[in-house]
Amino acid sequence: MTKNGGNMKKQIMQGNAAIARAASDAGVKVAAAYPGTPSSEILRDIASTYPEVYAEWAPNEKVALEVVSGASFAGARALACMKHVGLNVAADPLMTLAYTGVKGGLVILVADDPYSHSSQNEQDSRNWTRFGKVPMLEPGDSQECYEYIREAFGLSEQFDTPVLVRSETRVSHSDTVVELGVPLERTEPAGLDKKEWQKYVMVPMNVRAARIKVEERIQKLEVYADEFKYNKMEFNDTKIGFISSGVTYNYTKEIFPEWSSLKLGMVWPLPKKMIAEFFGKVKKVVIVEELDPFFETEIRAMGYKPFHGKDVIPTMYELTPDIIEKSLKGNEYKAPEIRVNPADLPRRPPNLCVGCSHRPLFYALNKLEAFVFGDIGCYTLAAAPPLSAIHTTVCMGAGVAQAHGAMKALGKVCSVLGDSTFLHNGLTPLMDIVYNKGNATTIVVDNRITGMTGHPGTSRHRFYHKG
Amino acid sequence: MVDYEEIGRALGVKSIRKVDPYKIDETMEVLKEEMDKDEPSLVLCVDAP
Repeated sequence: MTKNGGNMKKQIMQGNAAIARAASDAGVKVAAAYPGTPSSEILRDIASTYPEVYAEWAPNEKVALEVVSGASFAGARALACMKHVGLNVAADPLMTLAYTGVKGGLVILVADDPYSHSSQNEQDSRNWTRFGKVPMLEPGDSQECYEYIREAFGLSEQFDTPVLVRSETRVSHSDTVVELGVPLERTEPAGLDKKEWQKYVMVPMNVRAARIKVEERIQKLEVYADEFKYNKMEFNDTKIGFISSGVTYNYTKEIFPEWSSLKLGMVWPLPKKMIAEFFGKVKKVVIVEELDPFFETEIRAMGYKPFHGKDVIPTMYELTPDIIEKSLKGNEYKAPEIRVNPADLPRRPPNLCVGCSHRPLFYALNKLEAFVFGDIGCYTLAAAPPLSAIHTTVCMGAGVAQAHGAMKALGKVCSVLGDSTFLHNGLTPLMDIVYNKGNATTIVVDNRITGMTGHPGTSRHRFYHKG
Repeated sequence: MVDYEEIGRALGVKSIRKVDPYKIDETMEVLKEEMDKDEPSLVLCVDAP
């Protein structure tokens, strides 16, 4: 296969495809990921379309981030991709990579899933950026996916830091026009250097020195945020203006094109001078953001009083242009005419594939009237009737350990998890059961593929995308 | 190639069973046996064993 759309300068691309293309054009040498909706297409696209980038499916997100950080330490540009809950798994390396910094640009793409279309919870990944003391960019369409990813590698090297880029379902899975830039001239990685051990060995003595560096870096980034080209102010009618980021900016702009706006391409650190100027020029500032009051909390702490924010904008689920319009217009909102009430339509929840080997297993467990600790994967769908044979689902690998805990409290139970989930985080709890003399039954369902996310391979079957 | 049976054994699981879930009666028997055992057990359901 050739590059998506060949070398056509302008093309329609999915957000995830634009991220993959940007990785290639930014000179990325190593990319790793664990599949998870809505991030999965990125690594698939890199692997199938850009042979100059080494791409692998790692057994979990922690390993993926560790793999690419090794490449970064060696001086190569490297990209890790995951969904929001994946970053929980990769949080351990992330928090310390903030201290070591990087050599080759290191970018972590995290794709959120507001409304939890395909996830076990709803998280606002912007919270990692303040917690982890690393910057974060947030694109709102495919063009921005392409540009921000390229920009993120430059930022990473300039400020010696991992850079988070947050996408979400609507950004990752929408197709918009992308005007491509000139690919970067590929260079050889700078290489490893033993003399740099104090930068990379995070023992307390070095941690304390790095801690100062981390603080200074975030201060420098805060100054830089005011000049950052993707933080943009637009002054139209200055009676009202909105502060927003990502796709939420597009929604608000669509509904209120006459208002002024401050669009934050970098969601952390915040551009303090720009915010001061915006509050100075605009009479009523409305903060429109999806999920948590991330900007609002910070901006209120700076001493500003927004006209509206989370007092009217919902704090959960996805935003849409309609929801924003309704929230801000109140009684003046005129709902579009609905010809068919969605509640009247038959529900079509996702189901296990016809013929899948998971079906007879769950049929058997149902007949045995077993309580089943479940896990994350397509087999979670067996929770629904008529199979009704999954009774818990928390996070990758949790079911194995939960069955052990329940057994210690109550008596023998079983857990079910898929083969990919078993390799992701199921080995350590099984070891725990043996070591601590449990008797839980662990059932691994192996349909030879990571089913839920479009069939990327697992380590068991060596369906690597490369090699 | 990762071998789940070998992994289970290396982790110390003594009772490891492989079943073809399409053979439902056999699968139910194995599940019943394993769930009655007072020791850790690992059941591998492979659709083409």
